[in-house]
Amino acid sequence: MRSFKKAIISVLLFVAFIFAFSIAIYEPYAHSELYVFCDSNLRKSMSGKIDFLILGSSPGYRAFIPQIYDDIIQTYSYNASGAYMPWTGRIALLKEEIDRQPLKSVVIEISYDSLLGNVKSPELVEGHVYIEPRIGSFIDRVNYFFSNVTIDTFEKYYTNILQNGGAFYLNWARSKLDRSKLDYIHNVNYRQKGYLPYDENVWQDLTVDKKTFLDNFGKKHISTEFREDNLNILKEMIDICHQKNIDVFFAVTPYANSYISWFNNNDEFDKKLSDFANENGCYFWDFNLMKGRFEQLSDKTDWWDGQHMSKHGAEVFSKMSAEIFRKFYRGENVEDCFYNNYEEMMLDSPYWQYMGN
Amino acid sequence: MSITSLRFVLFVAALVVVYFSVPKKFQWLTLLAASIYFYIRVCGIIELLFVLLTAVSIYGASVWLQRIHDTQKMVLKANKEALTAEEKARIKAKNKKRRRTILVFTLLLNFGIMCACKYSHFAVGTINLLFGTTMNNSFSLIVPLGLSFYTFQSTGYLINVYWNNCRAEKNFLKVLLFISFFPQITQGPISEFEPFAKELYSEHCLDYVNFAHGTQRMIWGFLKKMVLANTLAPMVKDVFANYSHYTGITVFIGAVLYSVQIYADFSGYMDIMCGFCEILGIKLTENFNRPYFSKSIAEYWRRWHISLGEWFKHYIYYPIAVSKWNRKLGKNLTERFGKSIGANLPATIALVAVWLATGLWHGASWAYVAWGGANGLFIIFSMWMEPVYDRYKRKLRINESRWVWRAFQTVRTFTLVTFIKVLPEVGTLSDGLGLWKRIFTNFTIPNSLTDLLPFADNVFNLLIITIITFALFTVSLIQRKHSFREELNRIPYVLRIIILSIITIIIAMFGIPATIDNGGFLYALF
Repeated sequence: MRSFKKAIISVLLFVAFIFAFSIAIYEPYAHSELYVFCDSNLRKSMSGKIDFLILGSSPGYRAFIPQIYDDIIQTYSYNASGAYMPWTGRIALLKEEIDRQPLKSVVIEISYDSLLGNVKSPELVEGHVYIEPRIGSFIDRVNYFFSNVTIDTFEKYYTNILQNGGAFYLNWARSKLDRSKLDYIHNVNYRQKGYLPYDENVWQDLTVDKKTFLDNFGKKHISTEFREDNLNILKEMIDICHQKNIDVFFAVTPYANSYISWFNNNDEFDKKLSDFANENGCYFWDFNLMKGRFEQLSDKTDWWDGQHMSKHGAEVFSKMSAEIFRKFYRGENVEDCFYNNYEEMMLDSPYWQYMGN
Repeated sequence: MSITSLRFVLFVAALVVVYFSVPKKFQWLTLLAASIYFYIRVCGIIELLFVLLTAVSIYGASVWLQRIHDTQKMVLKANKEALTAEEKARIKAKNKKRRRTILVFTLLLNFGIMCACKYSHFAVGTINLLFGTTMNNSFSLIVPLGLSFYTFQSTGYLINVYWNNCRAEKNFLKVLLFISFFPQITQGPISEFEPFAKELYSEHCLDYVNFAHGTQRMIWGFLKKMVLANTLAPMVKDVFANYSHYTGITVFIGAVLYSVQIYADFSGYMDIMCGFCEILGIKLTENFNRPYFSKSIAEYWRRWHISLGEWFKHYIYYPIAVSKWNRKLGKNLTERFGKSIGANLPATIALVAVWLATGLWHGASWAYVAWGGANGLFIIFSMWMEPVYDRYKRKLRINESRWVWRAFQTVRTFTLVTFIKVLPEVGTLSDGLGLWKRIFTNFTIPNSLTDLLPFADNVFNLLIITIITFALFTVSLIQRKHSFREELNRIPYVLRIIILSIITIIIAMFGIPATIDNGGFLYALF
């Protein structure tokens, strides 16, 4: 019995120390509003102001610049997207804002794979790690944790929070040595209302030669086997918005031309989403089909990779898309702003015709 | 369920609670249930059937052997005076023949399954190579996890029953537990029945000292496996895949890192399992005794994978070395060529058999045969040359007890072992020889640390590897003279727990990411 007691005390002490050390590592990253994703206090400080909310994963996070929207359509917008954002995260953020903000429009960014992932699988653990500290109330965080993090995913989750905490200290130490790094870990990014660009002058030249283009053309397939549980969350988000008369837009951000060309069923993907949007009283805009994109967006400078825009690309895209929203709010027809489908776009575009010949 | 997963930790934690909560007479049944659950989770029902087949055949044969032996004993005792010496000899001979038939049949069955599963591809490939045939070599076969380990352990038990070294166990479930006990089924150790069965079937109470020591050892094992071995794995893989592009010194460093990796991998597993068994109060057979501090290859093999070496010694080396024909050969050779040849040649024959078998046990390829052959060659050569070495040592007045000489022997042995170890690990035998050639023919001096260690893309990983390797080395040094546990026990209780907590966090931070792509154990492949 004595051994039992001593063993239990030792285990409890051991767990307590692990817990204490983990918190010490994680805390500055998670809850002190010093790291890039932690914006719950900032959003709270904007209570009663935000009327245009963007919820998406990393392509949305890197594409929509709220200040440009504010300037062009006179909204008070906020980009609450984030890297590896699971659907459970999007709805948690929406629920947090729905009662305290006078929302008029919610843009839900949907990338090619966002409706495919299983929120309970380890692949999306990083998304849970990013979303947790963004949820304002402690109880909500605990609820979020227990409803999304399983035993199998906990290892990755725990490792991630430790590593992100460790990365915070590392960045902090670097900033002590190099003042220019200081902005990255302090909340200067939130002045951009949730939008986080890749470094100012970083982009990838994604232009390809004709041979590479033709070799890869149409070789990939976008899966349209959307997970039922993701669609259910999406429906729930739509219901929440519609109950408050909020317009819901599904948006696909522009991808690099060379990237789009890999896929052979972009139209099928669009149709499935568009049908879903129509059935649920939402709007669906695929900004890949936006007219004028070839003239204004270049594979050379406007993307960081196939799906994520560079800062310059995001500025151009935000201006273009904000103009479309302005037209929409004025009651004008926005159908003219888009090609009807990818085939039509290819036939009309000098880029595709040049590459295809 | 991976051994390096949280699920496994929770599984063993739950098992500890259940084991000490159930009535003591059911403790071994708890272990059996846990072992079957573990095997099904890791491998599935089909592979479990292979284990059951082995258990049934070994149990049936051992009980039968025992019954024949007991009946013979009873008959001879009851008719002590009625039977003539001739009749007694006839009964014994008849029973011996029956017993041998049962043994041979059961061994053929079990080794047959093992060979069919493990060596079919190798056999077909070799036949194709030798006779120019084109038999299909791409068929797929189930290779049950731990097949070599449990086959060796169970057949060792059967042979011991045949030799009357131990009595056959009458309870099938106990035999099944002995064969399928989960801490040892996947990677050993290969335990002897008598001492281990006593540990398994006896009743245990929770003892705090065992609990603390077992937990410490498990954490140490996880650190070795998950942080050190798994962080090294991609680096070593990179060197082996690109050795022809790297400088000789880089390839040599890669080979040394492989030695560290395989030791951390295998001994890490042993520490996890021995630690767990220690918590339960069960003493698992040790497989390592600071092998890289050995002074010769023969000594190294007495300190590395000890239980496998013991198995080969008991069931292959001794039976060949003391067989009638081999002793006769030794006697004839002694008469004709002298004592040295008469003693060494029979031992050499036994050693050749042992090392070819060891090579094949580790893997079905010519590279592994060459690996076994190289080990055997060094051991046999040392045995024959021992008188010459002794003469030179006397001439050069080398004091063998001096640390400089011992350090030289240790470094020499480690280097040799490293070279032999990498031979089958690069790919084919020609790849292994190519790697050796690269080390000995490319003397380019790298210009920078990046050129020297092109496989290390993360400074933190290098740092953590260096720290843990240094810790491993220090612990081994301490263990030369003292028990490391005693040293650890001198640290205040709370500080000890803090240190263990920090190590656990290090495992989580560095070990779990490294384990995602490199979670498997190297020895589980054998």
